[in-house]
Amino acid sequence: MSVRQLWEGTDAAPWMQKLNGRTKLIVLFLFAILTITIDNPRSLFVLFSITLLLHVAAKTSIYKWKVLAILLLLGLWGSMFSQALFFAQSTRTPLFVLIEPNAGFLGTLTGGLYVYREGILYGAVQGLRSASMMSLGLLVCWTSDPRQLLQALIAWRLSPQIAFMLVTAIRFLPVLAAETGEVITALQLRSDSHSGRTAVIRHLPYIAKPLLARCLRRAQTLALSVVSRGFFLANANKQANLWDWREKLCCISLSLLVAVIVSSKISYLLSEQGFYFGVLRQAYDWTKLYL
Amino acid sequence: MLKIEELSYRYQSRENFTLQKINLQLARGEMLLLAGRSGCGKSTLIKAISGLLNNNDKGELVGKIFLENEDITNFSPEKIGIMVGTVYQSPDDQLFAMTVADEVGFALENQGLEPDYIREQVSETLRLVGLAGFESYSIHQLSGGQRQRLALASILITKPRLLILDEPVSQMNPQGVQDFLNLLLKLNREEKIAILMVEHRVNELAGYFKRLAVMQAGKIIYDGAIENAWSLLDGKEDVGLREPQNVKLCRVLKLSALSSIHQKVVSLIKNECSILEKGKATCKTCCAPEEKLVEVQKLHYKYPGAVQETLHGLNFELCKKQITALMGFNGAGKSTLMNLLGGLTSVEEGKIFLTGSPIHKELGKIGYLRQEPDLMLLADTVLEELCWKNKTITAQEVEALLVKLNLEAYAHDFPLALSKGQRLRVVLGAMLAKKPQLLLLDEPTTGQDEQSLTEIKKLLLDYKNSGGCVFICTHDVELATEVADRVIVLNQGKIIADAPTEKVLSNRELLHAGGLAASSLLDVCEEISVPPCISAEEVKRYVSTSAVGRH
Repeated sequence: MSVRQLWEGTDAAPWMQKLNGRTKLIVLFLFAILTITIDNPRSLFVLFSITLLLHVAAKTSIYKWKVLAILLLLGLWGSMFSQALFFAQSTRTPLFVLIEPNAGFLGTLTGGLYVYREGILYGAVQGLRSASMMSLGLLVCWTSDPRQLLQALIAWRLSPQIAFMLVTAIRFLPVLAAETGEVITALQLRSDSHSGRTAVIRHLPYIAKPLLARCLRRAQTLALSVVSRGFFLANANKQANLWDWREKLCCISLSLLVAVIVSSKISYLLSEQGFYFGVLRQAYDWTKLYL
Repeated sequence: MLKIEELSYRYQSRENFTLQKINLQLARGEMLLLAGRSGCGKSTLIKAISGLLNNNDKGELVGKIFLENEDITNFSPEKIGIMVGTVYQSPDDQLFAMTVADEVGFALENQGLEPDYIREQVSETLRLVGLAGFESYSIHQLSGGQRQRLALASILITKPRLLILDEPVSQMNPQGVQDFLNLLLKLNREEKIAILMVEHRVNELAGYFKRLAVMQAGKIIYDGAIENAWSLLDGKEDVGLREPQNVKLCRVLKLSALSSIHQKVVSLIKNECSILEKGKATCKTCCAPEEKLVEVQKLHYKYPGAVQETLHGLNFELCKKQITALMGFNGAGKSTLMNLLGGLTSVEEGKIFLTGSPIHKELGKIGYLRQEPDLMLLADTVLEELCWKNKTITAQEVEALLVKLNLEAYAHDFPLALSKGQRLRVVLGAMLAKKPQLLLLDEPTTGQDEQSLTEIKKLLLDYKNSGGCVFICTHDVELATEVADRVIVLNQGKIIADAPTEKVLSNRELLHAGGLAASSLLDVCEEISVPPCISAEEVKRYVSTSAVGRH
């Protein structure tokens, strides 16, 4: 599979491809609210697992799973590791000592370097938040036709021009991925040293300009192409905008569930500030346990 | 059908009009080839016809455009889009959907038509362009030629009366060009669609079009039969046309008329010239030991996970002061070989030596210009680009290089804002600034006009004459004829020919096996009974200069 094919979704399960763009965007939005609302690591892990299960159901290819795994593990590891070392809140429990406070210059400079248990947990929570959204975001990118998302945004009465600009980024992801590789190759070829011929990271600061210039040219042509095919016509997309009632029902149910969760969390936070209502005791307990 | 009257357009940021009193007519079912050098106003004219210049306040549009006697000058692009379809140079830039069927159905979806009707029309249109059965394919699974057909299908589904094509074949190989043009001819014949094609490669397209319009500095300086164009444009090298080889032959032999039709050229030669008996000049292929620069020995390559090898035991040498063209079908292994020589891929089996050392130790001596030169432009000015990561070049050398590149007036310009030909020269200049011993070029002439081509050829010949070695991967038979001393033809990872250019490019079997277009001069040579020649100058060696009717 080429880098370009990584960013397109014809290999996804047909049911996922056919889902209305509005359904995908609503689920993505509701998941974003949930990941912000929930602080409980186990519940966040459940949310994260759901996104992975959706990938399984969407028949994400092995190659894409590998890419997903690398991105998720790097994100999780980075978040947990940095928080484990630099967690600043109290209470904090050191699990390991990396540098003793009295270990010479470094000890004096850092005041001791520890791996904190609470830091790992906090990092895991933050990491799971970003991992869940990354996983779901990639699922939407990998299974959606730009037209679907465009039609969804227009159905929500977003200006067609703005919707087009938003979605164009997704349309260009496959091409952009391929061209990024090509620019890095160009930088390697133009390098002045032997090591520069094989390096990648040192060339990263220079890749933006040629890519941006190409994107501007491409975006102009794409805009001309869709305009001349009547994309901005007033009567456009009537048929394409039909939204299956089952999808609509799912979205409504999920929205209600999220509303309940958010309300429960808000009431719990208010109770901590003294706005306590006895009838909501069970909700407070539930929130404390799971959210 | 299309009638343009006194059309002028001035962009807000410019003082002068980009289009100046254009008058053009196109009848129903007619095919017109519009040519002219980069920046002459061709794309602006296309935008004007497509309605993209009429409803903004950023420029000044004067004159009228009629389509089927209806004044469309102030129509919206959407409304014109139903009647006039436009296909652009790169299919990657204009395709929007994920699958072939969705892409083709996009325009009808936008009209709010029934899904069943759209499906039916999609199948019908795909059949028309030869993509039946590809409905569920991802657009990225298609080859370049197939993607261009898809772009065409996505326009044809609205049944336009006029089809505008903006350099649609500039990135295709000769076989792809032929297939695409045959498809256009079929559409023109069967569906009676008028076609307006903008293209530099007049030399390859002359046989498909009867009428040619040439633009220069915003004006149409010629509009008429393609056969009459050559003599009327005689001496106007700055219009940027790539003339057919038959026309060049007529010029070289100073025949009484200029024609691209080989029967006519044959008849002119037979009537006006006499055939001489002369031996052919030969060209060297093997290097003297002191000239040998690159040595490739038993080179094999297999991509990870691939079942078959891409390269099967290649052996060849590249010499100093020599230009070698690498030619062959897409997928023959040309790019793989270039990447191995450029050090982008590691040699796993076999050996490549540069000046006697393994190539991976000598990468600093290699300049490699890839197919997309725009992606190699990294600096803010042309001057910075030439000096980018290059500590060895002096200010005087940069100045001399700018003159050589014909870019001295643009030294402080942003490279990506230059014309296509200038951008290519900047990248080539950056390569040459590092004084490489081996210069690798991958399809350097794609989409270049005649003037730009001439500049590139001159640079390559200068570099060769100063002791450089050029290895150029190209489908452009004419370019190879003009600059290469030697041609290597790859077929399925094997070298099927490695011989002087004249020998390879005059052999029809080899050309066919390598997916290359035979020069039209071969037909002429056969008919006038001279040995096969690939350039007009070569034919001249067999034809007397004393004849009647010279002009």
